Amino acid sequence: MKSIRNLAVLTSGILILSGCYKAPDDNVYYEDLDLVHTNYDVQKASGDSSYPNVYKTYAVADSIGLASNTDEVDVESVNEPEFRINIRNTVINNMENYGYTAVAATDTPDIYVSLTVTYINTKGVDYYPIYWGGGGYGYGYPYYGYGGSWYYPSYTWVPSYYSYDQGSLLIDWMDIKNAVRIPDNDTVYYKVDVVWDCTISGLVRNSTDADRNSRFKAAIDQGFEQSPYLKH
Amino acid sequence: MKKIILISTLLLSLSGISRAQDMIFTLDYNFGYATGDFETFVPDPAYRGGGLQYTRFLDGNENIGIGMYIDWQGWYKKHPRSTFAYYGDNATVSNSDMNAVKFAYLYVTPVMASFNYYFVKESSVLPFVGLNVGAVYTEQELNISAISNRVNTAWDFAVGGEAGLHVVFGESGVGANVTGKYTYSFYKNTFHNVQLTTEGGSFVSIGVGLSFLMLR
Repeated sequence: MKSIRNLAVLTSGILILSGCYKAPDDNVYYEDLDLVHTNYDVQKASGDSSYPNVYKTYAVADSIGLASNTDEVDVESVNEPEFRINIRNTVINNMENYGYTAVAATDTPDIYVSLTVTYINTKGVDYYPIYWGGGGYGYGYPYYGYGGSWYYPSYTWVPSYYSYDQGSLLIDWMDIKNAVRIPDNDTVYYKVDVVWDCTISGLVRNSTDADRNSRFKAAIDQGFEQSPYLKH
Repeated sequence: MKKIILISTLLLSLSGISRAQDMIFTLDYNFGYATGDFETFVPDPAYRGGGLQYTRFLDGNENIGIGMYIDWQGWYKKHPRSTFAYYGDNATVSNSDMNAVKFAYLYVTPVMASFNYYFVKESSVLPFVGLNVGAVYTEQELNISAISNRVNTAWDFAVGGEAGLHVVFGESGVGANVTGKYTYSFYKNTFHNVQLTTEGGSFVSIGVGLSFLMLR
């Protein structure tokens, strides 16, 4: 009798402990970690009923900037032609669909659309807010310059997040129309507000080129789709 | 830590079997259903869970059993990709939207006193109903993609009800056990970043396992 009882105790003990493992019971795929995050200038949006209709013209950066603290990627690799053209064309298509008119960057567009890839190695950190403008982290964010002038982006929000070992693409709308000149004896500086940005995380790494391009296109389209307030 | 508690309780239970003559131990595998706001968070059933229960019959009235139990249940839900407003810390207005997959995790550990009424005495089939009161330790976690992780943990007062059945096999005192429990804890949490508020933590647990009955 005792042996039956002991066997029952052992069996049920195994049963109960096997029910207590804490690991999730579902797989997580790379595409599950893709993320499209858009921000807009809430002050402009709430204080100006015509926003963003004050902006008519735009220009998209010819090349993709790089903000990185590792030598695992370089500017050339993020400007690989097929990748760069795919990004630019997708952005341009969306700008046109929303009723904006392309002009040359040198013709002082209302909006300058900068493209930046971030790849920052933050081992042991789940996510990490980027702080732009102060340069305190030394990531070398490429200030936008053309026509002999330098434009410093200014955000009213913490611009972005990203995950370690993934990389992100940032699409920033810089308000050239309302750029504020900062007095300086030697160089022409402007402070420009970033009035909209789109961060696409999780797509830069861990995918084949073809897969990467199609995922980026879909993600950029998604960024505009979830920002219908941009539409004219 | 939870495993240590479970193993300790198991060992204590085993040591008690040889001495006691008027008690029931049960060891259950549990699966669970979240209800109320918990269901919104993790709508799928939980297949991970278990529990230990000790019940002692009152001297002079063996229709009444008083005891305690500790259960554990873990839910997981991968919410499909969607677009939602995202709020910064302390922000009351969102100027941000996200398109992402959300991963929701919920773990509860009720530690409850139980008051059971058994409809029959000294039978091989012992149906019962009960009321439970105690506390639930809740761990609620929400991850968005790989960039945002929020965890909230709390102990909360809880009440619940239970109905079940012990079926004893022969003279051994070993039997099968089926129970259904409803538990409501006064848990409250808001994940500010997605404006998700959980008010009241309720769930149903269905346990099947073995019971060890010692009759006088």
